[in-house]
Amino acid sequence: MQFLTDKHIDFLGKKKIAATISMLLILAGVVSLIVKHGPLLSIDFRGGSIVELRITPAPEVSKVRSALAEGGIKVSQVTTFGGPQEVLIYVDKLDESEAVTGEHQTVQGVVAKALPDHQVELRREETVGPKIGEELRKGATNAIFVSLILIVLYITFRFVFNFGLAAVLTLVHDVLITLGLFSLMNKEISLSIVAAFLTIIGYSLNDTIVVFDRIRENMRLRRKESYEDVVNRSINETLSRTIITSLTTVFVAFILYLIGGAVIHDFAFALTVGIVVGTYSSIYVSSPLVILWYKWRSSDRKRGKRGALA
Amino acid sequence: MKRSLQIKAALIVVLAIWAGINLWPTLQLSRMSAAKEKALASTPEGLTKLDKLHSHAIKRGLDLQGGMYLVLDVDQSTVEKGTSEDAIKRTLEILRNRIDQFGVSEPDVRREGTSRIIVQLPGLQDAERAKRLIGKTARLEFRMVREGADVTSLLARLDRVLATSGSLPDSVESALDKESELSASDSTAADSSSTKMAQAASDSSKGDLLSDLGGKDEESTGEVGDWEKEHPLTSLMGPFLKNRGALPVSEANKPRVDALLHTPEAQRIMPRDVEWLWGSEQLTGNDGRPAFLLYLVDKKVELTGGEVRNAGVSPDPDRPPLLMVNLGFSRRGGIKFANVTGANVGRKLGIVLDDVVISAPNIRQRIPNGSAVISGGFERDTEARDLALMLRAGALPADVKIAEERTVGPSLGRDSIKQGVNAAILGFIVVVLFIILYYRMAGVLATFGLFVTLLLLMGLLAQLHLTLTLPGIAGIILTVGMAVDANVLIFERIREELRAGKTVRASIDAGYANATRTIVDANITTFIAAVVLYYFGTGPIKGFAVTLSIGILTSMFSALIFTRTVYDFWLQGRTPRKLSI
Repeated sequence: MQFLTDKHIDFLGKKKIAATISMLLILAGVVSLIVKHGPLLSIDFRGGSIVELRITPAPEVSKVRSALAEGGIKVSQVTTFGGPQEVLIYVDKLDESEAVTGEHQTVQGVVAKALPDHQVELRREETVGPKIGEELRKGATNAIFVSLILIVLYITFRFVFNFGLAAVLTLVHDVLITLGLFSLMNKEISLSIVAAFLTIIGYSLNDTIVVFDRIRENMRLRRKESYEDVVNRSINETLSRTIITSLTTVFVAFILYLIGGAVIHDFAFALTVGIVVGTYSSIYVSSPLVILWYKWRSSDRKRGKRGALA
Repeated sequence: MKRSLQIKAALIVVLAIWAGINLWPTLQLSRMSAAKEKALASTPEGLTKLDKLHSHAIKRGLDLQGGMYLVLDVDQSTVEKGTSEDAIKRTLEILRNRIDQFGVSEPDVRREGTSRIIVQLPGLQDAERAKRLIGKTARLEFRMVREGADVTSLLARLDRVLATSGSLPDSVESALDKESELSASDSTAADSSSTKMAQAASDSSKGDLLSDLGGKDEESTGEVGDWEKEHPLTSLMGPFLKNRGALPVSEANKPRVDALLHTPEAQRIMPRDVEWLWGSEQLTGNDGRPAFLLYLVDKKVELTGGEVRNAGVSPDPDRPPLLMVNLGFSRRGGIKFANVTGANVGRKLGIVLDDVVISAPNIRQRIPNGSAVISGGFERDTEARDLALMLRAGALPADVKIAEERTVGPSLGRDSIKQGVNAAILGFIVVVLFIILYYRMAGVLATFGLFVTLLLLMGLLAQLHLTLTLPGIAGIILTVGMAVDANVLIFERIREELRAGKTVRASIDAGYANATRTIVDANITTFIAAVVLYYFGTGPIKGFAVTLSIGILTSMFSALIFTRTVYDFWLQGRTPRKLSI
């Protein structure tokens, strides 16, 4: 079985449509981010406490909420999480001393007392102090920047600088769209989402480099052809691989999203979106950016005189 | 057979055997039923065998087996200057001691950075109790309690100062506002017969101990009488309880009293040698409202928990079925204790734990035998047992704060494994079906490559004693998706070469040659992201970075060396016309 061989699709001819789509997607996300004062951070980054309880039979969330209020536990949000029996409780920041001695009434204890005919089981409890939250925030930001810089350096070393620049702009494009989507959908950015972003960066780059590699090769082999033709040919030649790999990876990411469990639900969601966006961008974003650079650098010079790239 | 081919084949076989040996303990354990594991653990030889298996098997992270992960900050402000290094080392040691006595299998207590300690307790059942046990400083002190004129004259002076200081400081005002809001509903419900302190300060018997807690929180009329104005502090309390040696304060009034006692005016007139401390016991007044006791305690410490040699629990004869904690002092401590009790017969000895009075018994006579009892009316057995445990392990030299906590209940861990494994199996099947459909025989070969990738990946995890976490499983699943990529790159190249009219052998050669560079470049960048992730990530995220980066390496090996070797074998002495790809 084969498909997508020698299709000769004029990808670059659609670069204006692609640019419009990309701009709209980014704009929607950025507007949402501005309106909501930045991304919605999870307790990993802003500090705080969550408690997940499994209550059987499934309780009414309002009852859990009133039970907590009566028990003197201040909560900012009570929702179900992955199923009607799983209740996720966002506890307001505890006084540090309270958190230490643990002498405050436990969330589980209060709920169990208020719902005597239910079985209340602690599934998960996470508390992040404000200091650690800030450290994690810094760490995550650093990690994304450090990996971007290292990647530019590596691509510059293996290809040329403008390929590296185009690759990183593509990555920024991918992460911005995913981040924007998270903001639009009111999903929280947690540590694992940052891990997903870094994976998307690595993955999208993988795709981009495969195309770049072919562009580099074709530029050497076909010196007479224009930049556009070489790039278009390269995208077409690698298209089959791009689609197959994206499909297999998106399959597994999507399966993870469907049946991987509530804890990694958002992580798998970020991966699925990121892979789709990454595939799109390696075809429609990174290559046009490379062309743009050449056009800008050698506005009237013929390509043939500039010789090989790398 | 070519020599290089022989070497490659040998390498693959050796690696596969090595991975198999590494994975054997994990396999054995995962196939062992719980009943069999129990049966094994009952005999000493079985137990050593089991321990050996566990130590060689892939470890499951706390998020998969359930347990608690704590990051503790050692509060440097509570450490004497220049001794912080020593303090952290001792804190570590004492925490290990406490946790050992608590009885958790394979606890991990280690230091991170200059002032942090990470505690990992796998398979923990009672998270709240563990937190109490770890977070408590457990600084036990014996200090004399002041009574009678000492207390009443100080209270009178405090009232005077606080009344004349005019407006209450902001903190008190806001506390009052908040309090009146919160208690708005119950203050109307409460009975209005709020007796005042001036009235009958008779020694109440224990039964109606708390009938009188001061009336200020009952101000449903909203008017503040003259008496309250002149007695801003004592109007919040009940009369001094001689039998307890303390002042009762209703729970509602406690924050206000605290705020008033901490005003600069009040602090200024406090004698240097005493301080106010709350009691741990929560009492219930006649009207059912909870209340606490406020003690005036000497700052001078007569004896510390450091003099405690051993501690245990026994039933409290006065308050069955509650427990009390028995202390045995060291020789020096025993002499000190005898002296203190001898010199203070008739007074109350405050037993203070972390600045909270847990009990204040009357000293009836000199206690010469070097032992003491704490009957703090511990509500639960675990409280008494834990206090005894902490006294045995010793007090922490510095206060610690829980900076981060992640607890996963055992049922969530089991669910995570089940869901993770299901997702991995389904992902694997879908990917394999897809590539076999698309690449035929070559797809079958890639499937074997996928097995090799996973075998080596798991083998490395076991060999390097790495921990498998839920994000780690996600990393493995992602590896399955991405591992195919290298094969796809190669197969697509081979197809191109075949289309260009080359022979099978030449196409395979050219395909691998051309794809290798692409594969290496593409994977190294992902590898960079994974390594950065490892360095910045904490806990479970590190697990993801580890499986992802190992997955990248093993998938490159399987695509570039394993499948290539299989093709080379197949091409030996054969010139096929067609290639199923």
